[in-house]
Parts: sequence; structure tokens; C-alpha cells
Amino acid sequence: MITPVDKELEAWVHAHVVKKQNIAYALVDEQLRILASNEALPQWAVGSSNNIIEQSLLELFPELIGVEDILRQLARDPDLPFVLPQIQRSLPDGATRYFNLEIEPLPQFGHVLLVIITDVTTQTHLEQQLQQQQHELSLQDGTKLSGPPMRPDI
Amino acid sequence: MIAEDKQAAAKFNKKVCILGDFSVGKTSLVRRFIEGIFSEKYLSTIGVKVDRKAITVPYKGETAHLTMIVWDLAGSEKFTQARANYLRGAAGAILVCDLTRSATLASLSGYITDLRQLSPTAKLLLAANKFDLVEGQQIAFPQVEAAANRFNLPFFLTSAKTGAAVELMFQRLGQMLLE
Ligand SMILES: Nc1nc2c(ncn2[C@@H]2O[C@H](COP(=O)(O)OP(=O)(O)O)[C@@H](O)[C@H]2O)c(=O)[nH]1
Ligand SMILES: [Mg+2]
Repeated sequence: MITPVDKELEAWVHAHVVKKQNIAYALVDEQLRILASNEALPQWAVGSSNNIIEQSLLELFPELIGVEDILRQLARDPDLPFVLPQIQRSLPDGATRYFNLEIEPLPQFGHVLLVIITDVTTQTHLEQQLQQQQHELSLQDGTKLSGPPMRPDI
Repeated sequence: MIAEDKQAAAKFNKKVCILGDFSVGKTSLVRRFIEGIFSEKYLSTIGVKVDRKAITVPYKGETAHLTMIVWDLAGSEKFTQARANYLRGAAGAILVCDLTRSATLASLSGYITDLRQLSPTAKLLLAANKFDLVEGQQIAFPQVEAAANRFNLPFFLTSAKTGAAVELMFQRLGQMLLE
């Protein structure tokens, strides 16, 4: 049986889950300026500064340079989210981490976009190891199978 | 207008994708260009790594500052929606093949088709990499030339290891991006 939980507890659980999953988010306007964000966001931003409000999303995430028009269009004209998976970030301490970047319109709140960042470091590291093995094997096969160097075209 | 142009040099940000099969040297070319280093160790790329480098390029009789946003991508056989998003908004691309593996030259047409579909105005060029490996070359110069002509691309014989033609190639792409 489901018992009603009070609003405060529900809000706390929401916040706790977001934190546990290391999810970062930001709200941006049509000009792609940050309106609001949570405390997890700066760790993923490039050259992160302490005050990111009002800053351009493009400065914090250069991965979005080139698709500005697509994003502005998405803010005006809601469509499916724009997703960039498995973006690599090298941290100052030398560690490598990965995140998925997902940007979706929030038409109920006007021409704004919600930017959601999820930490996919663990699974991406595993995927990387698997892919590395496959590639190395395939390269070894290639050297075994390849005959003498091809003769140049006449 | 003219006075304004003289005051501040023109500034541009352009997205550039590095495309080609795995282990052709995409990551190594980017590292050589951005950091000036090379490593023999192979660490296969997954997803995407974006780096930036500012160069100066002649532009309308002046010098423009161009920041290249370089996308080092994992070579992938499957074309997904997510991968399409990696290529969107690219102003340019470098198509890389490995001179010691002939299949990597044949693969390039697929990458060119994908890119031209998603970013039709992107400026492309071809890098035939690992030019330093004199032994084991499977692709000869005329084959590179023929492929470049077929797709109408400028081409460079590069070595991420020695650095040969790497700077020159990125500089050339920079000029193409502002044409
Ligand atoms: N000799 C030589 N080796 C290279 C060159 N470029 C890359 N490599 C090596 O080829 C392997 C794959 O390089 P990488 O940059 O990871 O390829 P990617 O998968 O296309 O990113 C690595 O072991 C590199 O050290 C080159 O120009 N010359
Ligand atoms: Mg790579």
C-alpha cells in the first residue's frame, strides 16, 4: 500500500537522488545564457568559475559551438531533446571522466532549455576497455592477413 | 565600419571534426597539433573529446584569430542519431587514413557522405597519416591522390609522430574555413 509522503520529504528525496547520481543541470534562455544551475554543474564546465549565472553555455561547454542555431530553434520550437553522449573531460588532477549532455525544451516555462548532465564515467571506462581489446585484436588479425604491400596504381 | 574592423581583429570559432577508422592516428594528429606531443601507446577513443586551439589566419588583407574547436571522434561503423549530433554544426573536417592499412582509405567515402549530409557546407581535407613508416605502406601516393581528386579534397601526407605536415594541414584548413 502506498502511503502519502509529505512534500518536504519528497523534495528531499528528489534532491538526494539527483546528488547520488551526480546529475548536474542548468536552465538557459534562448540566448543560451545560464539562468540557474545546481552545484554539480561547474565540475563539468571548462575553466569553471565560481559564478556561472549569466554566462554563456557555449563558454562552459565548447562542445555546443556550431549548434547554437539548432539550440535556439529548439527553445522557440519544442522538439526532441538534443543529445551528445560520452563527452570526455580531463580533470586538472589528470583523471578522465565522461558525461552525457542532454538539452530539452521546457515549453511550459517559455523559451527556455533544460540542460542535464549525467556522469557516465564508470560504464564508459568499461566500454573503452572492451573496445580497446577488440581493436587490438583486429589490428593483429590485419597484420597476419595482409599480404605484401599493394603495388601503386599505374 | 572600416575603422571598427581595423580596431579589433576579426575573431572566429569553428568546429572541426576528425574522422576516419580506428587507429589511423586521429587522436595522435590532434595531440600533435594541440599539445605538440606524440605517444606510441594506443588508447582507443570512446565517445568524443573536444579541444581548442587558437591560430591566426590571413583574412581580408588582415589577420584573423581563429579558434578551432577540434572534435576527436571514435571511429564507428554504426551511424546513430547521437553520432549525427556529433557531426552537426561542423565547419570543417579532416578525413584520416592510415598509409599502412589500405582499407582505411576505402572507408573514407562513408564518412564523407555522412558529413556532407549533416553539414553540407563543411570544408574537408584528407590526411594520409603514418607517412614516417616507410616499411609496410599499403597505400601508394597515386592512390591517395586519386581518392583526393575523386572527392575534390586537398590532401596532405602527414606524420603525427614526426609532426610532418600536421601544422601545415591545420593552417590550411583554417584558411579554408574563412574563405
Ligand atoms: N609511426 C606512426 N605511428 C602513429 C602515427 N599516428 C598514430 N600512430 C600510432 O597509431 C596508433 C593509433 O593512433 P591513435 O591516434 O590512437 O588513432 P585513432 O584511433 O585514429 O585516434 C597509436 O599507437 C599511435 O602511436 C604516425 O604518424 N606514425
Ligand atoms: Mg582516437
